[in-house]
This record gives sequence, C-alpha cells and structure tokens, in this order.
Amino acid sequence: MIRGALDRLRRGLQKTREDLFGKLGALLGGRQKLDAETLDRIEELLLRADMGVQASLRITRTLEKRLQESKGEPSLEGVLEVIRADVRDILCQARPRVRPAGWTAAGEETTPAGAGKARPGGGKKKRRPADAAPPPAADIEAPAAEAKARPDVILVVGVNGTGKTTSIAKLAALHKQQGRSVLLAAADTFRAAAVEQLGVWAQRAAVACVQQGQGADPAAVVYDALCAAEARGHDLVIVDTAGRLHTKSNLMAELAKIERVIEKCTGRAPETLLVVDAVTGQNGLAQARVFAQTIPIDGLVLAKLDGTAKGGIVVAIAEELGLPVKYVGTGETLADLAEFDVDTFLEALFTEETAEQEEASRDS
Amino acid sequence: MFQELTQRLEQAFQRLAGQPSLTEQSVGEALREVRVALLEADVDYGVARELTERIRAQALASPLLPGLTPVQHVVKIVHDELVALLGGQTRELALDGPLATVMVMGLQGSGKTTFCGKLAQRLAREGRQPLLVAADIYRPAAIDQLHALGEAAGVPVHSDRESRNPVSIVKLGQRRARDKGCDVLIVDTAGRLHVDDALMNELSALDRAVPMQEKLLVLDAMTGQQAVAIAREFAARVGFDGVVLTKLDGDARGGAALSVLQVTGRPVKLVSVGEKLDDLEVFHPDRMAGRILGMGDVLSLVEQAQAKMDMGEAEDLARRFSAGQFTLEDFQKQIRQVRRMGPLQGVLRLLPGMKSDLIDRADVDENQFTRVEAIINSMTREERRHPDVINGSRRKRIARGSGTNISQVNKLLKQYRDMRRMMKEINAAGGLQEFSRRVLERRA
Repeated sequence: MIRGALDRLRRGLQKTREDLFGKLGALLGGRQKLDAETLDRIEELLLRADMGVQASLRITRTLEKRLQESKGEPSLEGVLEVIRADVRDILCQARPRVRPAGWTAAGEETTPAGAGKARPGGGKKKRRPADAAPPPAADIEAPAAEAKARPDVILVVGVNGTGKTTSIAKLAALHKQQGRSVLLAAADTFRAAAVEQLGVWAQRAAVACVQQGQGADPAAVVYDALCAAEARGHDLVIVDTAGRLHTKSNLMAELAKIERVIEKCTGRAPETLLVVDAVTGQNGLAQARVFAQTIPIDGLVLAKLDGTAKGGIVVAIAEELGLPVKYVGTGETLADLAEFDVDTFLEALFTEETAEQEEASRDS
Repeated sequence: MFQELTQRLEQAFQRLAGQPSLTEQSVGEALREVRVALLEADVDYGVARELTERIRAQALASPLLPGLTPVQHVVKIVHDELVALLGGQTRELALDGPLATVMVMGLQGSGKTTFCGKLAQRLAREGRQPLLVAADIYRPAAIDQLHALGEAAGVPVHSDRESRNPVSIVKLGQRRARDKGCDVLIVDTAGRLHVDDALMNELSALDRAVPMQEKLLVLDAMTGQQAVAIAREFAARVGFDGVVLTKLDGDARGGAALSVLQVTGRPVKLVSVGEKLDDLEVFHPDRMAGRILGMGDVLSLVEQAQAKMDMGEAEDLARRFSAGQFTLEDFQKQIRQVRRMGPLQGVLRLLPGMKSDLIDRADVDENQFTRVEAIINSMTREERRHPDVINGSRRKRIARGSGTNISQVNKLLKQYRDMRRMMKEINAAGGLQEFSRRVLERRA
C-alpha cells in the first residue's frame, strides 16, 4: 500500500484507535489482573466499534482463555496483541468467493436461489442438479482467444447511500493509474440524477462512461457498455448499480439478471464488490447475507472510513460470511481509496501512533 | 409480539430448568438476552445498559402477574419500558408563520435530498406552498437530483449553479419564495462523510442567517453505534428539533432512533419507508418499540392499506360481498386493490410474527397476480359477470388470450367458486366476525 493511502487510512481510523487504545490503557493501567469487569469493558469497546455481539464475544472469550493460560500480569501490549491476532484470524479466514446456494459457474446455466422465484414459469427451465458433472472445460473457456479480448468487469452493488458511485469513481481512477483502459456503465437508472453524478465523476477521473438515462433497463445499459468496451478496446468495465435495500426481492432479482448478462457477454463472472458504509451497524450483516444469497460476492468495499465511523461491521461480516474486505474508501477525493490490507487495518486500529507520525499525517 | 426476544428469553429460561420463577439469577440470564437483542438492533451500548438495569429493577420488584409466564412478564416490562423511552405521542412538524423554513441536515448518503422531495410533496398535498432550495453545492448532480424530485412532486426548486455560497443561495430562495407566495422553504444542505468543522460552520452560518422553524437531522435507520456521536455533535454545534429516520423499509431495526432520543432528547418526527415520493410517514413510538424488538407493524399495514386503497371502491366491494353478488369483476378489483399496496412481501413484512428470513424463504409469486389479472382481462364482460357461462371453448379462448393455459384458467375459476362458497357461509353465519370466530374455534 502506498504511503499516502496508509496515512489516510490511519487518519480515518484515528478516532477508533484513540478510543480503543486510550480506553484500554486507562482500563488496564492500575490493574493487576484481568478481571470480569475489565473483560466487560473490552467487550464494550469492541461492541461500540460495531463489531457485533458474536465477533466481540469470541474475541473476549479468547482473550480470557489466553490470559488465564499465561497467568502473568496482563500488559497492555499483551492484551492488544491477543485482540489483534484474533481480529486478524477473523478477517483472514475470509473465503475468496461466496456463492449463493445453487449458483453455477459462468457458462453453465445459472439458477441463483434469489432469482428463481422471480422468473415467470421458472419451473419449466431445466435445472442442473447440484452434483451433476461440470460441462467440458471447452464449453466454459472457448474460444480462448476471443475471451481474452473481452473486458474484465467489476460489478458494484450495495444498499442506498453507502457510497457506490463515489467508490466507483475512485476504483476507476485507481485502475487507470495502473494502466487499464476503464469504461464506466451507468446502470443506476433509478435514482434521480444518478447518471449525471456518475458522468461528473467519469469526467473528473478522465474515463469513458456509457449511459442511457434515467429509467432505462439497467441490464441493457450493461450490455451496451460491454459491447462498447469491446468495440473501443477498453479492458475494464466498472458497473454502477442502483442502491437497493436487500429486502426488496424484485430489485435483488434485477441484480441477478445484470450478473447473468455480464457472464453471458464476457464468458466469465464479474468481480462483484459489495459497498458497505462504515457507519452501518448490525444491519450490515443482513445486507451482506442477502446480497451473497443473490449473486456471488467477491468482497467488500468499506466506504466512508475517514469519519468517526469505525467500520467494525466488516469484522462481523467476515466472522459470519467469510467475505474479505478488498478496498477501503477514506475520503472525498479520487485518490482516497486503498486496497485493503489486514495488517494496516489492524495497525491503524490497535496501535498507538506517536505524536510525530500524527503531525506528519496531518500535514500531508 | 416480540417474537425474537420471546424466543431468546424462552431459551434462556429453559437453561434454568427448575427455576421458573423470577430470581436474581434467572432475571440476570434473561437480561443478558435482552441486552443482546438491543445491541443487535443497534441500540447504543450505554443506552442498552441503562435500559437493562431499569428492567432488572422492575422485574425483581414487581410481582409475577397471575397467568403470565416469567418470559411474558419480562417481555411486557421490556416493551413498556421501550414505549416510555420513545416518547408518548407522535409529533408533527411546527411550520407556522408566513414563511416557515425547514433545514434538512445529515451525513452523506443518509437520504437528505430524497427526504426533501418527499416532504415537499407531503406539504403540497396538505395545501401548503413549498419551495425547495438546493444548498448542497458540493456533491456532483445534487442540484439535478433535487430538480428531478421537485418536478416529480410538482414543487418549484430554487438553485444557483454558479454560487459557492449556501447562505446567499438560501437568502435568494427566501426572497423568491416570498415573490411566488410560497409559505414553506425546504433547504437541502450538503452532507459530509462525518461530522467536521467545515460542515458545522456552514450549517450554523445558515442557521444564523435565516431563522429556521424546524431543523431536522436525517438519520439512516441502519446507523450503528456511531449514531449517538453524530447526534450529539449536531445537537451541540447546530442544534436540531427532530430526527427523520430513513430507509425503514429495509429490515434494519433502527435502534439508533432510541439512542438518539435518549441522548439528545430530540424526538423522531418522520420516517421514510420507501423510494417513492409518498413513502413518508409520521413516527409512532409504540410501533418503533415493537420493531426494535422484532415485532411486526400491524398498524402501519392498516394505514398503508387505507392510504392506497380506494375506500369508496372497497366499501362497494364489501357491500356486494355481503349481498352475495361477488363476480369476477369484483375479484379483479380486489386484486388491484391489494396490488396497489406494493409488493406482497413488503406487506407480509409488516405482519407480526413474520420474520424476514421466513418471508424471504416464502415463495411469494407476484407473477401469479399478473397471470390472474391477465386471465380475467381476457374474458368478456358477460363472462366476468356470469362465470358459469364459461365452457370449454371459452376457456380455450381465454387461455390463448391471456398467454396462459387451460389448467391455469380452471384454477382461477375454482378459486373464484371457493371464494363464493366461503362468502355464502359467512353470510349464513351472520357476518364476518361471527364467521372468523367460528373458524378460529374450529382450529383451536
């Protein structure tokens, strides 16, 4: 991770760090042993960071056990080290690609659990039994040369107001910097002026943007964008989708359709990122759960982390669903996106920053 | 009522087999579950702790009422305590004076701009003359969004794409409102990623420059533990009169509302429950209490039904129903009424005892309604009024016309006949109440 991004991430997490470290320090300062009350307070700190009851309990229990085993006086560093290791465990157990039950790979007939019921006469379609042999590899990959020319696709999804459009602009800037030729697809055709908003960001990031205007069929916009990308030689298409509450089953089915269109056009699954607002509480878990039941999700973008918001919900999500955090959004400018790095995240969460470093990060 | 908590509590009490009474220990165990329920609903940690302490005291002090299990007893105390906390009654906006000004504030993505559109439409329907003012000069296309919403709501919008000064935009808006004879000014302010000095300074500058009747803080129902810090900061730096809770149409429990009320003393005034402009409701503390603990929202359902149904038509249907003259034409009207309330799963969600995972698993096929409507639409008027005339060749024609098949047409006709039979039974039993009482008895 580049230095600037690290600093921004640090700054974003500074509040959390001060809270946690400061309070832990005060808590353990005069104490000889880690009693029940102290553990309660540690649990409080974790819960207040939105890490969720389950994850917090697991961490405090491990802490209790480890410290009983060691029998020594708990040093602040020791306690922090145990918490840090445990959170790292949770975040790294993340399995790379979470698929909805019954979801089959690109090229096969897709029958996502969430989309089945929305499809009229779905019963008529032949479903591939889960244990059926996969089709010959040639079916999926062929024709290899052509597949290479097709663009990679990043599909960005999330509930309303989490920061999808801004995150997309940042992603576009990041990939452009890495030498990719990026095309944005404005498939949020629902919210008033969402297309315009993406257009403005596309201009700022100096990348191309395909749009049809408000009210257009989002899957059609995506199809258009994929054709355009192929024709104009873009190698990465980033798709903006309308914010949707995960409880709206028809909108979730629409998402499954967009996913299928991408798989059909490119012959492979897109990288699908779920954007989670760092200020989100326990509902973030429900969001991740339902989105992952609808389409395969590859990872999370933790947006708006430069606030006082702590983003602990990603720990809860990783704990339950094994979804890894891929990117962290830390500010309002195009450069404010960093690839997620567990150690940086943890370092920023749990270590004390010297006054000197703090000065430096403020200046930059 | 309080399904989830009740289940949790039952499990907790089961673990204490042989101690069905309320002892220090069993109450402690129960309260641990209450606390988890509150925390999972995003109630602030401190608020949850205070609340559980109060509940503990009450549970131990008040004697177990005859007929109530310990679980029911605890649940009742929790419920009463939550309702008391959320405040007694519903509070309306206070928009007096020749030109009342509403300032809408909040973090980015909380739903400020959409709420402005909804409020404008609501006020316009109440006979007010609102003017929307676009004072968010930072977010790309925020002005476009407000214009689009204003157009949809039929409310004028004041904006100035050149100006970088929100105060002068609002002042100009005020002048324009007076010129146009408007009586409410709704100011959409800029959001920030978090509470920062620049935002607070801008908002307090606006507050000083233009007297505000209502300063509303828009809060996402999904907000976690940070809600209290956000609300505290807004309360201290700019001050606000009430909270607007948005995105309540999702399954977020909205415990943040409780925390904000408890910490700042500011009530929730309005809740936003969907993406359409008329999805705005007055806040009801008792319903919110139920929601936080996982109870359905029947009252909202009733209200939704009333708002979206054509009451005249419904009464007409009811009359025909009790007169035993129920035809397929009426059936068609009835289906349209139900569909007007929105997606069926949304309606189900409001019912008590319906947990969201259950609803997601339930295969509610909206397309079935579409099919039924298509079938009825493919009938002649005579067939709709006298379904008995529908013979084999008519069935074939209807199936072809509606893009269905004969068995689907038959299924509909059977449903209709069943319904007519049930109606006759109801009438024979002497009305719906008597009928449902009998059915319930039969089931029990």
